[in-house]
Amino acid sequence: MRTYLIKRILQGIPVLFALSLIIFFVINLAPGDPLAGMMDPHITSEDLARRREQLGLNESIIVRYFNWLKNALRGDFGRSMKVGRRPVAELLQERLPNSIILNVAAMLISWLLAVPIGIFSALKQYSLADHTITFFIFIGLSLPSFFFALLAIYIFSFKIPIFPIGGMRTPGAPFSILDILYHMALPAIAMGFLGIASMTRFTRSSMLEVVKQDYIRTARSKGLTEKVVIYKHALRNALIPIVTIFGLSIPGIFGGSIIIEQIFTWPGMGTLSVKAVFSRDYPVIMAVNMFYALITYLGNLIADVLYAVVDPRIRYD
Amino acid sequence: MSRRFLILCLMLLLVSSIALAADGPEYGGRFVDTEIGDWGEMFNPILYEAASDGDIIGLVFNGLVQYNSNLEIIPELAEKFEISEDGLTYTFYLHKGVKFHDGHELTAEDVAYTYTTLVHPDYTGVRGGDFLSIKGARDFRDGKADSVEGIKVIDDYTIQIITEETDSAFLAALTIGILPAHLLKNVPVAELENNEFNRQPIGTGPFTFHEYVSGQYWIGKAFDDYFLGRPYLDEYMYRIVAQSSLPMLFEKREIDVASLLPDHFKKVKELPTVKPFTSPRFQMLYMGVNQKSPKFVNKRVKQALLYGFNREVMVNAIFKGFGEVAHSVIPTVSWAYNGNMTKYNFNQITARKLLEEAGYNKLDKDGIRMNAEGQRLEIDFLCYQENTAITKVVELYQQMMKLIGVEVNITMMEFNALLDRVYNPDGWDFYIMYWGLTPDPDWSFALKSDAAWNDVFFVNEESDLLLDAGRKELDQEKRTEIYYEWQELVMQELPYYPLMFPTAATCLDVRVHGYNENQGPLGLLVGPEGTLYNKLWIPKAEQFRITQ
Repeated sequence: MRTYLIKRILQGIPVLFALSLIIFFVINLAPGDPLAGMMDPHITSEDLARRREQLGLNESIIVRYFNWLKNALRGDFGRSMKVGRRPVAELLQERLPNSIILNVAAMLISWLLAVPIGIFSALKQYSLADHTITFFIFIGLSLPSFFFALLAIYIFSFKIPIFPIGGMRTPGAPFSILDILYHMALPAIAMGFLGIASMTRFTRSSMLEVVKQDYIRTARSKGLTEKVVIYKHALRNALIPIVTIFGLSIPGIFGGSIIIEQIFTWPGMGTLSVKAVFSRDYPVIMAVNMFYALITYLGNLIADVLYAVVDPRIRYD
Repeated sequence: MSRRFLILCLMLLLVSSIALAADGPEYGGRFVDTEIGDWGEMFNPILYEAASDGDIIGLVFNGLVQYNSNLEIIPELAEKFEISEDGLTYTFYLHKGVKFHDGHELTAEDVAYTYTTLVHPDYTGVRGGDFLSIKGARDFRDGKADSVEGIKVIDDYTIQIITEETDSAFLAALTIGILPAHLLKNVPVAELENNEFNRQPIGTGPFTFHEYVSGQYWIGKAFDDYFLGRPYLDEYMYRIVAQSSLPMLFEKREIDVASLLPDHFKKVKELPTVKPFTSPRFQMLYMGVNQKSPKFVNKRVKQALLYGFNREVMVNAIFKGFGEVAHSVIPTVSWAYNGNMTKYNFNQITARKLLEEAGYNKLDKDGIRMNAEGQRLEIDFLCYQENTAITKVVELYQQMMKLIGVEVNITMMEFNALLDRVYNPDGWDFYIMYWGLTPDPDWSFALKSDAAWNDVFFVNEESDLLLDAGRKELDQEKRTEIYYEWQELVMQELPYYPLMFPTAATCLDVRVHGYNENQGPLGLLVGPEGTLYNKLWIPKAEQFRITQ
């Protein structure tokens, strides 16, 4: 296991290098630059040329890449070219926790609901309850998230004003965790419910597959109670693929949902990255992308390791 | 209940409501303004780039001069100013006792520091261009001089600025906010952009920079020592909101003011708690016309393709009437707008006639015009995809051109890609975009032959001469004449098709008083005496409102 881990981690290094090269070239070769959109009667071409020179945008792309790499390896991702010239690391530190708390809350909501519903639905396959659940899942899968979010605001912030319409803190109020939780409830529920649909389907099909297996029949023929058969034998096996999904959804915890963030004015990673892309804020785009690349790689690794932990048939030697 | 008693009650109610209304301004309360999108987090008047940062800077800083609602430049930090006979020397007499938010007094040194920094060789912003017309500024920027010759501090309250040549746009540049020299003069200019000051600025304005939460809100606190009098409001807040939530926020009375999309506006203005306003803005929707395109060698083609487009329909169908058909590149609200020149009112007959005169008098099997050489009249139109209304305009244009036998091919691209594309004159005829304009009618930045933003390749000596003359002339009446002539020329040559001047639709909560009801293009918070930030007030009884 240890050698496997070391091997996997070492493999990651060239992958990240290659990715950084590709991302850097793609974003820098895309038309425009951080100053292109600044059309203003008071700004002269001379001013813009000076600024490009100062920001190092006039250097060749190869020189720029190696400058970036040199600094990045030392842990310096530079300063944003569009957000107050602030250090990129500081921006990520500011936005990342906002995204993480929202995503974790949403994930908890969807997992805690989806797994039991999925199991229930599988055990009662083709019953009225199963059909009803499947019906709602299809609605959930086909609803666009912006519509769902707006509907949630309209009902729970406007018609029945339980939650705030948007934002993360009550303006002017002192910082408090309760206040943040209060603001987080609705976006987390909206995001969580959107996640339920696919998770339920996944659990259901995984469970259905397991209950058809021979060892379940064996368990039953041994005379074990239905409870033991389901919860001890079937469920544990059905959860194996779900563990993979958990590993794969780790990057999602750090990522931002652009639509949910925008509608709920939640200052997370989604709005930061989209703004960076549209304004060609190169240092921010690079840092965000490299961070996601790293997290995705680690998420995959964790999924593989967890797989070995829960499934004794899998060994990495 | 007797009728007499009822009448008495009614009268009492009437009297008390009159008494309430007659009360003067009351102190206290928080005004909630709105921002869509996000801030650029550079709250420094000489370094900011994002317009949203400019909104906050406007509350925290003052310039020497400011615009009023009639678009005249009036004194602000300067009590008065004089311009010498030759139009080169500006003398500003500063208000005495103007305090920065840290209690330090503003003097001419602060003004000198701000303007000198703007032309400093290490200055890292893009707002220095206008200040290079100060005498000696270029030498200073190029490192040939140690100071700017044309910036002269006479005494603590008097400063003289001498320009190289007369420049009618120069005074407008002095609306820029004045920085506190005592806090910044020891910061190397190259490092200024990384200084903490930019996220915790100190100015002389009516509100102090109190609390900023990234991506959420900003709160300004009333500055007790504001030189024009403490604001009535206790707090001025900017809140980041989602456009989709605006109608709900108005109905729940969580915000006081916002600009709205036409559909939202029609809904929100019916609320009893809201006052609706519409007014023109200094903005223009236009089509750039590639002057290097071989299809436009004959001027008649350019004219025909504008005559054939029904812009009234565009304004009403796509923008729901929130706009005005543009007949010039200078907005109707400007003093320089010429109402008596050639107008291209929708006329298909004229359009067809012009195209026939230009030689496109045959039709192919699809009904598209051809010239004698059999070339079809096909037009390449570049459009950006981020704005759905714009996309609809282009599609409408395409349909209307079909009716006069012109085929329009639309290329959709990302906005940045479009900006990049237009500087190469090959392979396109039109692009579509907005220009955000300033109250001054000068167009040298885009329509002079050598201008930075001349992306339509408009080269015209007569136009250049007129633009230069307009820029050098200080007398408004003479400038008006110059710009009348220039507009006529532009509408003959058509480097741009002006399409529309949009109308801003704003709603304001009825609890707010002290704004300018007869707003000009600068909005509700600018009056004939300048900005009204310290004049806004909310009656005591309505100050309490839960804002989330």
